[in-house]
Amino acid sequence: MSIVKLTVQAYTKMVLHAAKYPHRAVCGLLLGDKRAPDLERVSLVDAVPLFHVALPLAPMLEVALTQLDIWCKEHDLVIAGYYQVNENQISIFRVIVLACCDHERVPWKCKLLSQNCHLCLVQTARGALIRSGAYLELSDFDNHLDDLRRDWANDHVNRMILDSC
Amino acid sequence: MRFGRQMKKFRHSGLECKWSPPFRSILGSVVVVVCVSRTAMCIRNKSCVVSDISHLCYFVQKILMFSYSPPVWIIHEQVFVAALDCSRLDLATLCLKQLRKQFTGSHRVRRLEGMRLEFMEKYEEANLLYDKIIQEDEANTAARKRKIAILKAQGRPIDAIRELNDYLKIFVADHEAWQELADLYIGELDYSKAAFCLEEVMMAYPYNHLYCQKYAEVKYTQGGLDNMELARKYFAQALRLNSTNMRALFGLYMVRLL
Repeated sequence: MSIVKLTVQAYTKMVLHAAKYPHRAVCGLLLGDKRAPDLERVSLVDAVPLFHVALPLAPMLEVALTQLDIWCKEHDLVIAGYYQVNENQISIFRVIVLACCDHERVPWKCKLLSQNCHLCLVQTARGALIRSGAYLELSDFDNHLDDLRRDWANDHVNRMILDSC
Repeated sequence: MRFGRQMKKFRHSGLECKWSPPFRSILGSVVVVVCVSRTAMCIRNKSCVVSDISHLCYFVQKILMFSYSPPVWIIHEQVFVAALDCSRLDLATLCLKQLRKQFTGSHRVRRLEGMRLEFMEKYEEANLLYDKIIQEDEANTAARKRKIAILKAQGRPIDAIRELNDYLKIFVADHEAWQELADLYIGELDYSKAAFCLEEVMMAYPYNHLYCQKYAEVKYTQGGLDNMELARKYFAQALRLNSTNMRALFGLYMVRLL
């Protein structure tokens, strides 16, 4: 597997999550489409922001993975990757992505996303959303644990991203 | 990295009334205060706070040119830090100038100058400034902690841990520093040492559910029968202190599943 493809939604949510907490390390999961398994390329359709506090601690990570697993089964998705943005980065666009299609047959591949994005559309959408403060609307799993009303699926942020494209 | 700014509550009173010359009459009667809650100053809302407080600051300065009420200077300091967080060097420099004029030679103001140098990534100069402050005042904890913050900003967590350990040998009762050390150890995946630091914090704040919950999470991550038993106990304790702590609820559930 050599190609990792990201949708606008996945990429923008990763960047918004990093923009919301520039002083902290953030991490999250990437979801792929269950119906299109391909060993040569992985298509990541959505990103779910998870944590910005105490990333290496296990209990909440296990809870998040369990909840996400169930959610993915309902939406025909599969957990296909993991992203992390380290703290105090000069540029929030240094996102590390670990993606795998089928870990039994193909090992995990690590990619570093750079600012050079192939689609100008994504850059415009990303810039507009960051300027408008849309990252404040994003809720990660930590925010959900602090206030259960905040939805880590981020439907309204997904709509904002769609509108800005 | 900021080691917890003390937020004071102020009551807003009488800006709209009793504005009569000469200015001296204002001094006793009009006290302009701002109510800034802790949640408003959280990182998420920093930019809103900076824009609101900056306008308020100018207003405050204009009205109370001859008043020396202490709350104004604390606001200056907090706006300075918020402005640095929002990359507003112009506003930060303005606040610093006012503070320097009001408190010449103050170590607290010189620490803010150091923070400004840190913002501009002039870490060597900032370190020299902090060393000078420590030389003049050995008991100055703020300057020592800023030096550790510089190490953290430079991406040297091991050095930061070492320096923080040395700091805590001298200032054992600084629980904020113990907390920071726990976070650094968690970042380095050294859970046993992180647990030790959290135990120190829990001894100081036994009724804070967040520390019990964090300690339980660290014990859970360490794994093993004894650690799981401890994790269960501390999740239960966190819930006893605050029954709405979701992390403790989930943690207790996860431990019982195993």
